Amino acid sequence: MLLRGWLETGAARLVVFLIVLISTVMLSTTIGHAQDQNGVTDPGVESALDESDRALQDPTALDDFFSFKGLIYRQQDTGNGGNPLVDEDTSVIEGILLLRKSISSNDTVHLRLLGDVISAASQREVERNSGMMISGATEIHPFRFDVGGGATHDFGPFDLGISGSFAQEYAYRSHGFGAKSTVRLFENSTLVTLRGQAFGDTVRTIGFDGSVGNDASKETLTGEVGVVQTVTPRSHLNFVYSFTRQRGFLETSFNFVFAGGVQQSEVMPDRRYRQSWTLRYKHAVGETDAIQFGYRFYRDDWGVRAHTADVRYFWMLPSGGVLIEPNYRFYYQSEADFFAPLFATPQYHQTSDSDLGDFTGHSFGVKITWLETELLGVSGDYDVSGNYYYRDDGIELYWATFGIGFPF
Amino acid sequence: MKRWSLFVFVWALSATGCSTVGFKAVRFNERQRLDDRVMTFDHDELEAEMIGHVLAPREGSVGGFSAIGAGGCGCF
Repeated sequence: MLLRGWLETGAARLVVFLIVLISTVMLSTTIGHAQDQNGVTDPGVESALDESDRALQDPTALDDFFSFKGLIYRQQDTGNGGNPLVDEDTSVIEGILLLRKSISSNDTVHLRLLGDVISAASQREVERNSGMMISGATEIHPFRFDVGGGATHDFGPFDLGISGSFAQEYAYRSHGFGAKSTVRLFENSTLVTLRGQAFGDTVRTIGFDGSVGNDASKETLTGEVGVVQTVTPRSHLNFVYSFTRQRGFLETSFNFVFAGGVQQSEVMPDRRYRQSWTLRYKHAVGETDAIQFGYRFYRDDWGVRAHTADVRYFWMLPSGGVLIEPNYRFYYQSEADFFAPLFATPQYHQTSDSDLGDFTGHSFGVKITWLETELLGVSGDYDVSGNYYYRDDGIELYWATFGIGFPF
Repeated sequence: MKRWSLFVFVWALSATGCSTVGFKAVRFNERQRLDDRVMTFDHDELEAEMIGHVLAPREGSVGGFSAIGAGGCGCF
């Protein structure tokens, strides 16, 4: 609560001013360094080095590559956590498989398969009340799958990729399309990435009381521009601006509110415009380690404002075969304009979804990767991670991941 | 909050824009450390996607930190 108040004070503005001042000083130093380093390069040498540099920028991009990641997720509603009128316990088991293969010196294709098994207490409650199954996230139909693929062509100074996906669960179906291009500039000191994504979704509208309405549509368009900018031989910055427009049925159909003591469905606007600005900074520490800082500001026209800050350390054990990554993430969001735990009278727009409420979150985690290790006859990188997230409105999240990745 | 938005935008612009002015800050023969695995942003793309799946339904915000977009999932 103190932090929320602080974010609106003059002291917070002072901190921002100091950050601007420090970053300006740091970048002035960088520009001075650049002026010292700029020189003339033989064009032939530069071209050859650009090629090798591209390979280094994404070490897996030129290899045929297989990767699998598994997730075990548990969300715990501690008594009256989140929305006190709803049990928000949830469990998810998820697996993602990614296969990438080169089909020529400039072309790669990829295939991505995802599967979920979901169990959510709030949805089971609706099912019990209505005497029918209501969504993909029930004991009866707990499955979700998502299959996608794409291709990327390397044009030299830039690459262009396209992708598509299809996802299905009991009460939700989605078609997605995307395009992405990365432009490499100034001997790869600057990478500019443009990305666009479109989803056309269909929702089976099953109410909290089990009533079934007509299928509804939901459209999501996202545009994103990102820059990775080298700062010094040991550090670089990443800035991302993202804009998302959503239209259509934006409610969760079985969510409800109490208005004047009467249980009613939540009602959301049918449009939402969302923007975020993200800045990350990564700095090499010693000969093998690194540290990363990130900050994101988010706002939308529903009145939600969010601040996210995170720090992650990359610690390579002296043996060189094990990478340990501890991380901490802070998150704060303000509530949507039409959010309230209870309503005195029915409103034109109304929700009691705690995910649109005002809360602060802290998460901690650690990931361990065994590099180029052989296990059961398969040589690759193996990783495990454990994470804990606490929301000050009483929701706790735990998740663990495990993965394997190897070129072939 | 408009001031906050402006501050963040100016900060990000100055950080990336100013450094772009010094676009040849680091030459190809100085990049060994930057091209190391631990220095790549989002070197584990599947992990970034999974974290997006975990956090997106539980937070009212999206975008940045490699978790693009907001559609495609009924979530839970």
